[in-house]
Amino acid sequence: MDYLIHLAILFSIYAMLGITLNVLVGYTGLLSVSHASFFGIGAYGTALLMVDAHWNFFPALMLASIVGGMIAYMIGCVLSRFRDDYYALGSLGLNVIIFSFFLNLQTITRGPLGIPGIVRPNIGSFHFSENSMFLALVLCALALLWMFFHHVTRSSFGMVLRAIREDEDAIQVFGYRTHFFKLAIFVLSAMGASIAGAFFASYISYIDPFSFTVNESVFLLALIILGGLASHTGSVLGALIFVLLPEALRFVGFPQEYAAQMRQLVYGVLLIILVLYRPRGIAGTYTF
Amino acid sequence: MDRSKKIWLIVVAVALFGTGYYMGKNSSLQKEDTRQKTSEQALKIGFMGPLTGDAASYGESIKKGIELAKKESNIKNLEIIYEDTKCEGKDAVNAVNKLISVDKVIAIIGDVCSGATLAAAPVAQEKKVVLVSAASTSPKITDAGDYVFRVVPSDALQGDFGAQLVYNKGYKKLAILYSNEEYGVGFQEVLKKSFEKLGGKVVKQEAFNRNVTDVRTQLVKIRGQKPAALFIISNSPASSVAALKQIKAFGMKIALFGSEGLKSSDILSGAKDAADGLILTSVSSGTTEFTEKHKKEYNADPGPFSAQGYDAFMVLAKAFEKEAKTSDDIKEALKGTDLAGASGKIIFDSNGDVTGNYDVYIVKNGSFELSK
Repeated sequence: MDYLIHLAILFSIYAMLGITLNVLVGYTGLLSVSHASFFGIGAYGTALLMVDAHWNFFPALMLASIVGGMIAYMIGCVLSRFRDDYYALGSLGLNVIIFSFFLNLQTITRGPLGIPGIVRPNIGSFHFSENSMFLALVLCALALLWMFFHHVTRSSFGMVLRAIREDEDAIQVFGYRTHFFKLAIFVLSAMGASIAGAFFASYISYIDPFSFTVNESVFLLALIILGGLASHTGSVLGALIFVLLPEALRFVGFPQEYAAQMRQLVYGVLLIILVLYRPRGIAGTYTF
Repeated sequence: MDRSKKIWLIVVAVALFGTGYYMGKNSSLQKEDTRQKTSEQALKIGFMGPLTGDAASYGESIKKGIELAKKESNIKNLEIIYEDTKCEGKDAVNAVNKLISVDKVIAIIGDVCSGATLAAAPVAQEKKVVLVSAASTSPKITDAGDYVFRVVPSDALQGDFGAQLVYNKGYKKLAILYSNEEYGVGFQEVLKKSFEKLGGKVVKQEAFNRNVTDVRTQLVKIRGQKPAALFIISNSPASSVAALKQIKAFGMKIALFGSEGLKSSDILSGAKDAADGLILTSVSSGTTEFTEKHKKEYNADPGPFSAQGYDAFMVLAKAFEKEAKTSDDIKEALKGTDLAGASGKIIFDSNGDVTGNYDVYIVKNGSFELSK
């Protein structure tokens, strides 16, 4: 049971990451390979505020997500001038830069030593130290994020985003300054990812830079593409598959000697099959 | 992709799954048979470590040590459940949760990388399950909790040992070249502190990222400070070979020291005569007796931390002999451990650490010679 609760928490965190990345990639058509860096900024921000400055989790989360948003704003000013392949490359570079900061800014982030001893959230004397309580908290956060981005994508603002995805030049002709729309959704997406990062740091209790590499960004892209682009349900289903499938494979009775390798192999083959049969992902409404 | 290709892929997937399932079923059937013969209740311990990914060789070599120890210990109704963590924090937390709440293990050997151990330790601590690491050397693990033990000494001790070694050889100006990760950073901090306490001076510390093969920039900076000795801290053979070759190419006249990560046959074959005279500190790779046993069983020399894996299992086996049935019993039993293990004497201090069992090696004529 504890194991299931643990997986549910991990699933919720990845579902948040999926939803926030999907508004950028699925709805707006901006192939961003930098989501893990904002995930990391949220995690590091919260961890440092809680461990070094002894802040409470909730204000730490808010400040971390604001910092994530501000960094996204600064970078987004440049990044939003790009489109298509150049956007992907630019964002990839961004992820590498931010990872290097985590790794080398040792006076602040303690570099590769990581930050241990991050505590669980508390409100007054009530501590979310039980995993089931923490799960309830993460699920609330997931529901709030889902609702928020549901409204964002259904609003007229969301319509413009989809128009940018379909034909950026055309929507510019109608007088929309697409640059600002791309910037706004980039910042919102980054803030969402930072919130997921805050929960991740508090739950795992130890973070190091290697959790926020380009690989993680690619993993998140795979998650939403398989779950389904431009669909919030898709992001959540993607998280469900990517968190549960490798864990479920632990229970397939492969022989002990090469069980670990077999799991990776089967996992890979299953993902290929999924892409073959559902190129739009499970609940996707759009393909590149 | 046309239809026939899709069908083929599915056939392959089904076949993979089928064989896996069939073989798994067979092996579990066998397990059940033996279990019925011996006793109804099986002792379960878990192993977590990298069995895939770039650190997999460490995981596999520790696993060999554990299996060897299991064979020798003659505890009949014992089952070891192996879980892969790829040396990543998130996967380590997955594995430790699975082992504790699904398999209900009473003790866990793992993880290998310090980062993964630090991520898993709070879970083990909260659920009160003993965690014994065979290879995590980060000084931070000392404070990870009273259920967390390790049979490999902390880097803090190797840093001390290394500093003393360099100082006693008569070098007073030292430069450090280290790999920019948990292991390298922790190690070099201690090395610098200890060396300066002894009265020496660390004139330059330069970092390189794991697996890079060009450290010329760092070497130029180091050369500028004219140190008498250089300490290389690395656990990436590719980077170590590159560093040694580039030092030779620069014609730097400098005494070379290295951490245990450089004690690998890849270094000898890669760097050739550039490695001559290199002096290494290394955690013990096992007594001669252990090396013989390992050779007999697997027809190969023990890999890195294989002896520590053997010892990790043995300290647990000793606890089982003392009728330790619950995790708390094991914790108490471990505190009284006094074992002449494969990697040296194992006595846990109050933090669950062991004191260092280090060897000094020197590279001569293309091989590592143990120096006394």
